[in-house]
Amino acid sequence: MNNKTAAKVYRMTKVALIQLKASGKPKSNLRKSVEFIGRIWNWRRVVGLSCSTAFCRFSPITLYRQRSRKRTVRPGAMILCSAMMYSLAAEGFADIQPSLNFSGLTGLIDMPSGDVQTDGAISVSKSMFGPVGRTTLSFQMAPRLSGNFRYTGIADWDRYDTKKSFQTYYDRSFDIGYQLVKEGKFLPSVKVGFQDVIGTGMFSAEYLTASKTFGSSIKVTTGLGWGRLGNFGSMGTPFGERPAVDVGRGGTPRFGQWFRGDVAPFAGIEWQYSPKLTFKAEYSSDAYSVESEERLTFDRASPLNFGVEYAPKTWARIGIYSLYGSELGLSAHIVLDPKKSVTGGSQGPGPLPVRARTAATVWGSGWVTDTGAKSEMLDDLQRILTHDGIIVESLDVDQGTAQIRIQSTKLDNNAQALGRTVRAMTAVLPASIERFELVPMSQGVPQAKIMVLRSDIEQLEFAPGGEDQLINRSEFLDISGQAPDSAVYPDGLYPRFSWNVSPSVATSLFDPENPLRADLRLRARASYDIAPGLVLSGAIWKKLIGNIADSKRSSNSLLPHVRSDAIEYARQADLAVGPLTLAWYAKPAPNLFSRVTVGYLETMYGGVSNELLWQRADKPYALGIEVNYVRQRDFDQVFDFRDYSAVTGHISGYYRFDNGVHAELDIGRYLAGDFGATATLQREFSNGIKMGAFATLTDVPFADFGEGSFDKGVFLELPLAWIVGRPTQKVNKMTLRPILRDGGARLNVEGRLYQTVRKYRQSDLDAAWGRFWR
Amino acid sequence: MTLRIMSVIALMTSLSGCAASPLSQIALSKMAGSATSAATQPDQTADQKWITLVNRGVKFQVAQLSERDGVTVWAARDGTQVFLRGSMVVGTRGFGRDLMSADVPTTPTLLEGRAHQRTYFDMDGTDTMISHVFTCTATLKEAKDFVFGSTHVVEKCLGDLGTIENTFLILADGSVLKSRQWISQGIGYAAFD
Repeated sequence: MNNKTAAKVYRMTKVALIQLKASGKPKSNLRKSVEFIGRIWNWRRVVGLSCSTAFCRFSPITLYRQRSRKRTVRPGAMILCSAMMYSLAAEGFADIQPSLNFSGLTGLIDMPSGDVQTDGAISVSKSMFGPVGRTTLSFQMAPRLSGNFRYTGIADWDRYDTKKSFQTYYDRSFDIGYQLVKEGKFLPSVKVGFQDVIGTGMFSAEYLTASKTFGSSIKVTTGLGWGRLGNFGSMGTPFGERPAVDVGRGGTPRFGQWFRGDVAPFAGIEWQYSPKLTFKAEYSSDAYSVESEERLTFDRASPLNFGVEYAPKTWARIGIYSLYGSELGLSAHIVLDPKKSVTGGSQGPGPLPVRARTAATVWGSGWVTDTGAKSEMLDDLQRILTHDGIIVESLDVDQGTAQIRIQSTKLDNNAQALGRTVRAMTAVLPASIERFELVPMSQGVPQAKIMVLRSDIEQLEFAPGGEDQLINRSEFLDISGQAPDSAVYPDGLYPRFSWNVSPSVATSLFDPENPLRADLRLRARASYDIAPGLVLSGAIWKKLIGNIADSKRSSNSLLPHVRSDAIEYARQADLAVGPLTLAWYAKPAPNLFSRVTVGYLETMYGGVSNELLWQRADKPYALGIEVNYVRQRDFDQVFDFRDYSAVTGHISGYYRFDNGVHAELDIGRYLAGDFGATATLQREFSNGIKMGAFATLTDVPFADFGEGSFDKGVFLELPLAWIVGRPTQKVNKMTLRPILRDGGARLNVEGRLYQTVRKYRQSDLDAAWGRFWR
Repeated sequence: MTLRIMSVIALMTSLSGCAASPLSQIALSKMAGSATSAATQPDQTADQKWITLVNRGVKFQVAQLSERDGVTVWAARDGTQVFLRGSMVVGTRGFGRDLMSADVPTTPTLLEGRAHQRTYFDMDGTDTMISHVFTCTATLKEAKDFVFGSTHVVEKCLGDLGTIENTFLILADGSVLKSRQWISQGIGYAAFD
């Protein structure tokens, strides 16, 4: 837009405003919008910017003329102009590391920017200034889509409050951001964001922000904020007044508030002095009205913030700031990229090289019918595979085919376990056997059958890109529950007993009096595999130390207290049992898996749980049904039950998309007797890292559900192997719910089928196939 | 690296109601990964050579574990492996972010000084296979400081990851006396004596 055109637009806008004003009609949204455009233009004029092509020019004369005018936006505009001036000398497009702000959003100091983190990035931010402290867990769920779960504490909340309701006010909030435009040579990155979308609304805000890199070290951000980000330096209410928030309930999206009410500009600049050192300055549009004006927790003396950040590593950053003219601020951020292993990838010993048939073990004649020879082959295979934690459950061989059933207990990658197995087979099995059938087992049940040809193994071990060629030549076939009659089995595989003792930590989060409570426990677990598919397992634990029981929270739920008495369970349990179950896993048909579990199923419930799952190994989807009859356990978690019982169950559908997105829908009856559905969406990486969110809506009215309105949360799974770089199947899982109440509550039974069975279907193995030859 | 691991562990313990102590799990994991299978250990009398991982500053001895289809597998005492086709590296195992396979030139191709391509297959942090194609040129000069008749070859390659440079000291009979070769993003360069 050249200056003539711009001036014309301005004149037309001004004329329209005058005409509207003269008409004396009540302000319509259209009129407000026109006024809004006019104010934006005025704001632009105040700072002396006139647009020419894609870049702005600085006009000192215009700025001088405006000096006598008092404009609340001017300091921020000054920063912007300074940045623009600098940029003229260093015009370009460079990649400056996107950093996080005080709210854990990609941004400046307290304001968001148009940038996003690396796809899949997981970050944790801790920041504090004056009375305000924030802890944020963030996910870059897709290249443009980000989500943040934040816990905010504001100290001195009731210093001047006669009610003395809170010493420190704690609140949870959830944000969503979407990058509309990626930064290009001329275009800035543009992002729209929604803060505190389903929380109490105390921190709710919407923003539209743009960031542009100039040269190799300067990034300038400008934006418009609504709600909390629009309450300082307001330019008006272009889209109408903002409806009041019902802070007490929360839990549901407040669509009616979005982009309503006052809108205010914010701006800032980042100067990356070096990859490790960044200076920031910003003009904030957050008035902190409640904190500074109503609660008097701190003095917001200025909209200007300044800071310096130091990044000792690409994944770690700390910062120190001057906030709002009166406070010192500190922040620390950890950003993990799932695509970059913490330890630099899978380490540990290499595999057994594939052996040529001419060098394979010679078994003489008659081995096809000789059970002793087959048993020797099985023993030889087991000797090689023991080191990788692979148990050979059975072996069947004939002149041209070998079927091996294996259980992988150590390697974190299932394709790698298959690869190690075929290598061992080339070393041990007679040269005439060309067809290898690999049958991974779990809980004594065959999960899939993968057929590979020995000649392909020999040909592709060192072939460039041989992994892709091999999986294209492999076949995923149906498999029945029983091994062939002629199969041989290892001695002493069943019954099998295992046990371990380890410390464990139980946590209770988001208690208003103490947001993080924890108990340290000592737990002993034992498992007795009576026969293939029949498992007796149990655990007993003793609390060593902790403060969960100190919580004064008690349930006020209007529903049966199916989950909300969690504190009571923690209070009364000392030496507790659970789970303690007998489980039977089976495969009644080639694509059908079943489970029956009886006993003390989990902390709060005992009973019977039945499950059926249909899944084909070559398909990315599955269907399941689960029916449970459960009775609530006594608070002491020993052997007694309470009076409450329920029939609960779900029909479940699962689908894995090609891009690593996995969807699950469960429809059924929940523990409190409510009917509804749970939708779960998760992003998965081939290395086992998963992140996602879920929400449950049932026929319980929001008002009856209580605080939060409905059950929802986010979860994260980090395989320990990714962290330590060594093979282990341990996975750290965490689920964060804003609040755990009784509506939409499901049974937490162990050994659900889908998560086990899906590991060996084609779509999941495809994703991890890169490590077949590892 | 340790700081990073500890940070991740701190993150997990601080945010999760985790079932077991990650510290104890690490200890168990290290114990489990410390031994190698007898089947993956080379014979004591096997041929040996020295390898230096230049970027990591590590030098170690490897012994021949197997040979098949022109590729020799060399294994170190800790079980890590390097695959050589002739003298060209075509794979590694156990170093983290390994080179899984590679399409490489032969020594005669280098000595002819012809333009050629290299393709490397390695894994990103999610264990997804990725390939990198490089276009290469080889420059030859007589290596007078070494054995008479030997040739010093500098192979410069340009690809999506930038420029890499491999060097070879090739004897008159075509065998490689020494080399310095790029392996992968995770490993960097390795020198072979």
